[in-house]
Amino acid sequence: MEDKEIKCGGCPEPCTNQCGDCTKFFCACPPTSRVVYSIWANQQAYWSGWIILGGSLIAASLNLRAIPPTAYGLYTRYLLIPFSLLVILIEYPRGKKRTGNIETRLFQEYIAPIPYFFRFLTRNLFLRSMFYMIFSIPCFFILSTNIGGMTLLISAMFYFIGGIYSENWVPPMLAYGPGSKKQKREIVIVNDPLLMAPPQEELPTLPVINSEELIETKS
Amino acid sequence: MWLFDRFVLFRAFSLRGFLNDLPRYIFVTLWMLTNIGLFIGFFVQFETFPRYFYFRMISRQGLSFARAPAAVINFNSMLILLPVCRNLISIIRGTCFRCSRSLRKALDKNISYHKLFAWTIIFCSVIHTAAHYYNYEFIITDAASPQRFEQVPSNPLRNNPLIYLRLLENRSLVLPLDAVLLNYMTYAGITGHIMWLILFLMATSSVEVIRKSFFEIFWYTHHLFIFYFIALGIHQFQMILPFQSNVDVSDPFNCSRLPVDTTGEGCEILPTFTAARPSSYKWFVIPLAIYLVERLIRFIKSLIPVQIVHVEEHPSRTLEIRMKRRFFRQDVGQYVFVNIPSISFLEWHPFTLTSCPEDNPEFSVHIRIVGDWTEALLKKVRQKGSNVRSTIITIDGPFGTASEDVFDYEIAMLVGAGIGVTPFASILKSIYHKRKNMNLKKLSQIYFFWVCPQPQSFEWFATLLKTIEKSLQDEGCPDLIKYEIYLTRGWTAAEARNIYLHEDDIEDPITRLGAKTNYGRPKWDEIFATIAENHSKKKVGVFFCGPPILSKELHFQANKHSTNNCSFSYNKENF
Repeated sequence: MEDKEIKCGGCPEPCTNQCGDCTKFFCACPPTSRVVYSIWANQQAYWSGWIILGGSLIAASLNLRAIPPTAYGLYTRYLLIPFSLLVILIEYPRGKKRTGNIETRLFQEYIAPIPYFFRFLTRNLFLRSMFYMIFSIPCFFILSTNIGGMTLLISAMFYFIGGIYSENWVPPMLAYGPGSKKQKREIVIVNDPLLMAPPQEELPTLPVINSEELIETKS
Repeated sequence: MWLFDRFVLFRAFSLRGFLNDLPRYIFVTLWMLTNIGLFIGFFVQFETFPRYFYFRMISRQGLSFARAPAAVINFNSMLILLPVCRNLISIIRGTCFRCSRSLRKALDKNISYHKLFAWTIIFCSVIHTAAHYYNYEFIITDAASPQRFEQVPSNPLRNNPLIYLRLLENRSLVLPLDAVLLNYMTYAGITGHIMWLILFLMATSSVEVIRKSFFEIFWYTHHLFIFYFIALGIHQFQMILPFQSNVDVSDPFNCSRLPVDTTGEGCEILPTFTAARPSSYKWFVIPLAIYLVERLIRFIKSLIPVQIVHVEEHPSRTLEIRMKRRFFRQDVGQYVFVNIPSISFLEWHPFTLTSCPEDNPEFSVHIRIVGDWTEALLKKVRQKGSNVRSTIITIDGPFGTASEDVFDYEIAMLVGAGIGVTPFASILKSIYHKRKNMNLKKLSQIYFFWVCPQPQSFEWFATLLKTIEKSLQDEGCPDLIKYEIYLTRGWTAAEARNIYLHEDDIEDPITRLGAKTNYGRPKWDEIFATIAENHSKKKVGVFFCGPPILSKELHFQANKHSTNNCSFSYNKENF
């Protein structure tokens, strides 16, 4: 409790925020937002992966050999295919939300162990954002992957914003691998007479309100 | 699992349901045929017409594959704004009061049409863009290797195929040697990429995860549509796509095969070119104008003052607001859009009306506090206290087809699941009032099923049920509305034990209602069988509002238990 009232170094106000961390050298009350930007960024990056894959397949089908300035494109177009597949693979499993449920993609629990395996490399959104920023550079060498590069930059931007709001990729349910928990429900047979006694706490009953007027119209 | 769902859908087919949705099927079929027709028409035109002959030499099939989806995009861009003009739809529904109910119900599916058009635009954009990427690359490749055209003697592209692009004609531009540079020299390239980014932001923010959880992101991103239309308008204005203007004097099929100096074959005159004129704006300018008028109507409507009669904060974090406005006529099961300028000037939020026609001119909404906007509203209500009536509030609506079908059946079976119970507040109230006024037509028995995870969040609804139960008991017909409540989850082990111990009480331990709460999911098979047994030679109307999975199940059961003895007809309410 005392920690909360201590002013952090250089901080104008005491950290009242729950996640206020005074141990760091600067006042770290991270900004909070109700919007989870990483969910949007995930959707964007996932689709960007497909757009880049399509673009690089178009580029790979072309005969670019004749033109000298596209020499960069000459080799990167083949490299972009596995890179875009990597983006799709990493982005396919949706992370858990802090509160509430999130819709999972079909069979994502079978792919989720792969990003889980890379630990902080995939969980830190700043790292992800940096990776996409670097990865989007070769996309601008070829015309057909330009749009994919732009959309990937947008998603990198939203991942960065998500990182500022201290979001990270929380591993969802895994089908196999080290992170998967196989929960076994224990069946407890209760035959203790003490346990069978009526419980002390009240049930969360609905409050009774006098609301006759709810139904009667006012004349 | 989805295979099973398909199977259920197949089994659930019924003629009545098919006829109910017939206008919708006809409309979608017509729309699909128009799309296919436009695609094939434009494709054949650009593949075979002589005036595109020389361009085809550069772009191969790229021209046809770019222009055919472009026509489909234009057509769908024309349609896409119309389903979101809710006042326009209301006017159509109002003027077509005599036409059949199924036609009016087809109008309620407006958002599905909007989605359909949007996905078509995105799908065709993919084909269009891919084809144009090939076009740009072909032009650059041909510029680097002009020997390809030397076999074509009288070809105007013989010296430099890039001269063919009107962009470079009569201009001292340096020929780019890279497709990326060439792309960003054209209006079409720049605006095309802008449109792609806009479509990308709009589509990624409209997936269900984001639309349901963070409505404001979806709402604000969708307003980028205006830039989409501006970009679509100027997409063609550089007029770089040329076609031959003198095919009648210089037939390209013949002349391209002959040497340049040939005489006597009608090929003395060299081909001349004009540009294809911009045409996209002709498609969307009228719907865009209609949409702007729609926004103007919304603005004018927002100037009609709304008087707040009463605001009540229910314990389950729900606000009840009762209001009054001139020119407001409500029916059962309709919804309104609410905007409070002091919270957010742009955001309009839809809420189901919980009042019934007998409440006119007053109407009410119940607002659950779940998001930013509703949180801000609660804060405002608490701050202002009794002064809350001075808040400026604007209403757009009411919208939606009235669900008055309930009164056309002898037996009505109402199923509300989760948040889907809200429209039934209006319907149950209306039933109560109609019974009081002896105006209930032939409706003699109502079964109401309330399936929910936690009744605590709908305490106001339980209160309403209790009030109706009590007044019906006082008036001596407690059996008119029979209701069952199903609690699907949300009880702890201790609570379960407590519930078990309260089994013999008169009132239910949780809802304090006369009917006992059931724990777990309803066994629809048994329920339908019992109702069919109790009401022989009668028609039962099943009305449902809630999640689609349960809807399929109910639809299936309704058809399964329909016999000559007792027939169930299924209606999914569109709220």
